[in-house]
Amino acid sequence: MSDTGALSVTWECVSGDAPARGRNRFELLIESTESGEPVDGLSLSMVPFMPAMGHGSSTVPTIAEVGSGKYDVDDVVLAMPGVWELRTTISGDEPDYAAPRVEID
Amino acid sequence: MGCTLAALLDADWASAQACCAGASAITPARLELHEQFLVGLQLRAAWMLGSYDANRDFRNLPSGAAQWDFEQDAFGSLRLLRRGQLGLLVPVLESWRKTSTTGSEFGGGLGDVNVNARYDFIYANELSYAPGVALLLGVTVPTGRAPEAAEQPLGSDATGIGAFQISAGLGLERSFGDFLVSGAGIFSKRTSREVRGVESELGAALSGMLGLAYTIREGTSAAIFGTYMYEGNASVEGREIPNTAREQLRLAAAASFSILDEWRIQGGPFVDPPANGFGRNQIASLGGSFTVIRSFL
Repeated sequence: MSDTGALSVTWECVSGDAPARGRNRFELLIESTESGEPVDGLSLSMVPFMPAMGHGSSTVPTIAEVGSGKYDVDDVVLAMPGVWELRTTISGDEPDYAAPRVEID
Repeated sequence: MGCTLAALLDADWASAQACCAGASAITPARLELHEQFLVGLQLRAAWMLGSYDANRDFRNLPSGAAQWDFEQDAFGSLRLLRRGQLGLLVPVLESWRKTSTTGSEFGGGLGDVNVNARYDFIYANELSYAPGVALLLGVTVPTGRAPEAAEQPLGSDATGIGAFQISAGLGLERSFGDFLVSGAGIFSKRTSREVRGVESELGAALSGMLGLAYTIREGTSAAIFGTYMYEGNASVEGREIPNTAREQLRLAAAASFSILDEWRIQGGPFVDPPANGFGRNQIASLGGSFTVIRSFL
């Protein structure tokens, strides 16, 4: 759920069976919480962040719109085991923010 | 950066005043009573066993993953007052890391420099009715490379926490014949920092050390000791994040030998127990250290 409550943001790891330590690739699915319809045309930026350690990642992920509410997020490097936040800023007419969590061994 | 606090603790303990040879096994860089100055080099190597999650459950490293961490600490201690001394620790860190998705990499560099001080209000056994009591102070400066500034994808060249850290605590010790019981409690706080537009601040940390040393003969001692660290929840953008507190228990043994009057060596193994309940949001390692010290009277 995004900060405003307008969007549902979920992820799927497409670089393997599950997110792993190292380089990952995700697909974000963004849907309207009101209608359940996928939301296209958003401008996204992402900062992977590990709250327990207070640090980020050495790389800036690249994001490309796929369509049908899906966004391909590549080069997500999660250097340490533990819980990471995929802090995602949504720009545009209705700015929003979401930070889905990812846990890796 | 789990090792960072341990390094600071070591630095704090390293500056502790020796009351007898037994203390050298626990705190290698401590000036003994007759010493005015010392310099030393500590070498460490550690193999990552796995990690503890937020529920304190231990998880082995996944298949295909490995990590070796190395550290070389150059340090010195100088007696500025009869009961007070100042210490400096300059760490250099390297790491070799491997994962199934990213391959292997090696990196390193200068770590976070630590300046520490110790003032002994009461030396061990100076008073028959009280233990030795000392004030411990430390400042760690972010001279190392923060994780997000690393150039290697797995952060093997990350050598610092990216924030200042201040610490203050008390050291207590008391000898009973050839045995020395030593303890310390340290409060630490790191400054907030901004990471790619995200403001974060780690929680305050409390660390404790308890050790028992035995003087085998003059200049030769052995010790066992444990350290425990608790750090509260971190805050991000001013909001406390649940389940981000960290804990670490480290068990160690060490021996110290005087080679010549002014030279001594110290070393031993350490381990973060690889089982449930011994850590939280922290990696677990098995390793050893070796230290060479030259003192000046």
